[in-house]
Amino acid sequence: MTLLNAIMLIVAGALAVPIILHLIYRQEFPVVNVPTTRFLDVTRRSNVFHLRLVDVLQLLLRLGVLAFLVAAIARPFVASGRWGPGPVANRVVVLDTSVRMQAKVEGATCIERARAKVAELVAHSNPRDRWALVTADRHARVALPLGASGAEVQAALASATPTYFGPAALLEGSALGLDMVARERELVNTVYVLSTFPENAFQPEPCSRAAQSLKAARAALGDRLTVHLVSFAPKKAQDAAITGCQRGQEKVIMGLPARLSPVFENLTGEEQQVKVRLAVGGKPMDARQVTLPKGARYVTDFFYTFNMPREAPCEFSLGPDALDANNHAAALLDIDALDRVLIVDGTPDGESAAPATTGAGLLAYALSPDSLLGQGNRTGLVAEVVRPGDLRKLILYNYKVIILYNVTALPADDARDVLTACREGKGILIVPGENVNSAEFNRATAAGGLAPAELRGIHDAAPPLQAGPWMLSHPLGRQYRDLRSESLADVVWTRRFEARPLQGSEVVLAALDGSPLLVTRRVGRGAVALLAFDVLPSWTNLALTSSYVPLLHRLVAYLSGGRGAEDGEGIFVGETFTGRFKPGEMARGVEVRDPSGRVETVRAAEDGSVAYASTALPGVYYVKPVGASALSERAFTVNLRPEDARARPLGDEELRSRLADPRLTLATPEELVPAAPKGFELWRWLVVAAVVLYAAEALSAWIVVKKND
Amino acid sequence: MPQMSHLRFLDPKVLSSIASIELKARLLVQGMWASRHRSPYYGQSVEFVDHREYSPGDEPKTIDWKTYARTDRYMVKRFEMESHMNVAILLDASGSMAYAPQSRSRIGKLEYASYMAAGLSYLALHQQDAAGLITFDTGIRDFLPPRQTKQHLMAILARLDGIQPGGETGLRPVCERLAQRLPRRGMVILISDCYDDADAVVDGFKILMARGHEVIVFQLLDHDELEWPFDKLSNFRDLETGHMVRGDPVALREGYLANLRAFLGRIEEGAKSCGMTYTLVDTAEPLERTLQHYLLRRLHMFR
Repeated sequence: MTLLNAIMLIVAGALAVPIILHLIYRQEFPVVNVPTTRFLDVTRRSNVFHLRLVDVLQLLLRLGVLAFLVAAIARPFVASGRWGPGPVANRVVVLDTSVRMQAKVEGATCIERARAKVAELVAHSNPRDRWALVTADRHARVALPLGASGAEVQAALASATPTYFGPAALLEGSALGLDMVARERELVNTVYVLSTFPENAFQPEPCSRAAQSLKAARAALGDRLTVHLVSFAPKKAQDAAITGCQRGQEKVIMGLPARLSPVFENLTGEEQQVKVRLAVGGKPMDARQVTLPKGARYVTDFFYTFNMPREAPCEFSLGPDALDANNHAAALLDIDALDRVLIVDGTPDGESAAPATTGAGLLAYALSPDSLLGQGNRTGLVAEVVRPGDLRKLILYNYKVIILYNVTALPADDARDVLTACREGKGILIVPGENVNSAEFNRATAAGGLAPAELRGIHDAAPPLQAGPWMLSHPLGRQYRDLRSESLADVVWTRRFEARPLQGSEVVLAALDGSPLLVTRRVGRGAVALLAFDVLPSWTNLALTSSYVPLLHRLVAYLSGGRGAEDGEGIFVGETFTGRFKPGEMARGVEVRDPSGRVETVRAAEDGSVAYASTALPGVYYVKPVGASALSERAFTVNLRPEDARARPLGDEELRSRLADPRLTLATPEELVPAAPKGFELWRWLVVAAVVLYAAEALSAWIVVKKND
Repeated sequence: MPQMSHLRFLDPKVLSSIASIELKARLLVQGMWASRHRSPYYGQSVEFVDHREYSPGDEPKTIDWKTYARTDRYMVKRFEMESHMNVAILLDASGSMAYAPQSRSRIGKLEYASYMAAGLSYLALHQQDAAGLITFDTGIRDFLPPRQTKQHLMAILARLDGIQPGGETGLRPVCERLAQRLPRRGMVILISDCYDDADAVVDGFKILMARGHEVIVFQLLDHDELEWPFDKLSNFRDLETGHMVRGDPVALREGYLANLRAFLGRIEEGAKSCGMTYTLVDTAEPLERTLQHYLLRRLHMFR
């Protein structure tokens, strides 16, 4: 017999209550003085015996009532081998709904196999079982809280469609599922985690949140908790899959070409011709023919311009003449519109009369030309021009980017508000103009932490300056890597501010003579960019070239996304990977293994840094010191997000190690045998027994009272 | 005035109800002073008794000359002597008299008995008789001999005020001792619950009767004793012996009342067989009514 709620046995202490009451009652027999007891002696003995007997009987009945109730609360379960309805079980299904579950294995996708498995589990479980469903894609969500029926879970699973291309929040989902059952007291508490268990879903290490939940659940439930990790990972020799999807921008902006990059891999062991198709809203838009070496991962780019703000379903497909286990995936793209940009125009009054001839006007026009011309809005941006004195009347959090044009210094309160907004994720673009006094700017704006560089006065350039190369490691500069038509080759500068970058700033664009033209710096969750020139034609012809609008839009997109150097180990094709190892490890250089398996040895500099430029093939590259073990191997990706590089299914040992639980095992769907123990829960019978005893006690009390009357 | 607290026993309501009623001796009494009660001696009352031969020394004025004319013999007329009466109030001060009733509207047994003794003392002194107070348990505790003075009432009241109940009841030795200390025939009024062996109680009565005393028995019981109103399981403690009995009073009641009735019957029967006046007093009855009722009944009985 097992007690499902053994902790409630502490309530058994209540059994002492009637005994204590009984003893107290015995002790407190009132003493009544009577003139004589000589007339009582004859009947004394029989009366007391009778009373004591009734008293003890009632005490026993009360104790029995309490004992049965305590036992019922403790919920004893008697296992009876082969018969009995079995205990009510808590079953939580944690389902990976990332796009990897769309991989086909033997004619069925992983998600379909998961549905079939859950249906099998439901069919073999107790109809009174309490089910829950947690889905994990970008975030984990409780689709059905604990208490749902198996049929409800099946219905919810039927509508679950894997659309998310990134790493699934499996840890969060598992923690949610474990937390659900940790507070329960059933005999059987089972958490099924259905996934392909990609490595990137178990980052960062150690997986403390899930491990803590697992530990807490184990502590609370002990052997009554079972965690089934059911892997639907396709076998490498037979399968291929779209394993992810990248977008060129964090946010797809209406009117600008969005780069959509499906990540797929050839797992067949033979070179394959793959046709990759892009469809938007169900309409075929583009297709590519790609030759995939055996075992290679590949990323291809599609560019598509969305013209309407909406949630656009974007689909990729492989085949139909591609791999046997072809794939199909979709992503929802949130097309944003009408981001608000605030232009604080510090130009003295009277100079900003004609929008097209002032700096603020040129900025506003470039950001939202259609709206200024009364033709709607196709850029998704709305520019609003205000004077510095109006700043305090505005709520800065309504604006994605704040452009300080021709502003030397803001009032102290306004400067603090702007800086705070930037730290919270807003972008600041500083465009100095004729009105800016360098010394005062440095004292108030740069020293205040808002500007990424100090200004050293205005310099005329003769001959005019031209732009040098972009800093390609910077997210902003990276966008100019392949866009030759939008380069700044035709742009010249006749005047500029001399800018001295402050510590922590990056010069994203400089002139050919090295003068910084665009300096950026991260401030909290936001970013600040400084153009070292005015956009007026008297300073540069930038606004008159076709590069002006894209540059400004990319600047605004970069600043509004608040992104910076967090891309980390991900680079794009043609970029140079730079890494640093411990100098002691670098005696013989490093080995770089590209996605095709080719290994190249690279020498390291004296300071331990390594530069590798042969990044022509998209995919995952592995770097390790020559002769070192695989444990010291590092990975970087080309045209992939770093996390996509770690999509390899994890094994038993790795899962145990990451979740800090030696009892975890990874099973295939076929190995998961639905079985439920048989037996009875006795609490109902115990409650009935308690009620019967209570009735007997009430009857005896009634009889005593009646007799006394 | 604490020192005058004993005056509380002279309840005007009681006194006014009995003051006009005479407490007259039924038997002959031996008093020292002429009064209204019949005496075994010859004296100078108006009640003629008989003649006797004249003997030298008799006063000549006592010679009945009409008889001499008829019989030619000197005969002297004799008249009854009427004297005062000694009233000894025998008050039980044993532990059982200390019983405090369940109902707070009633006074205790000893209190009731004290009021009764005070009222009877007042009545005796009011009619020029002598009153005395004897308290007892298993023996005589306090003996205040009968006196006829008005100041003696204060002494009786003070003794009543100072009674501390305790001990068991032993009526027979008390009666034996009392018979020795009361040489003159008079009236003995016993106020007690008589919780002693019934035969011993009756023997005590007989001893007093044998000495020529008129004995009036007021067997005083609280209403609780007569009704046994207890209903909770309790430890019942005997106020005289301290003996404890645990029991269900509801179940005990029937047996208790039967035993009590039998006991009371034996006392009453014994008292009446000795020619005594027996009255069972319930403390639930107002004292003035109890006394008035008894005195009037006695008056009619001996008229």
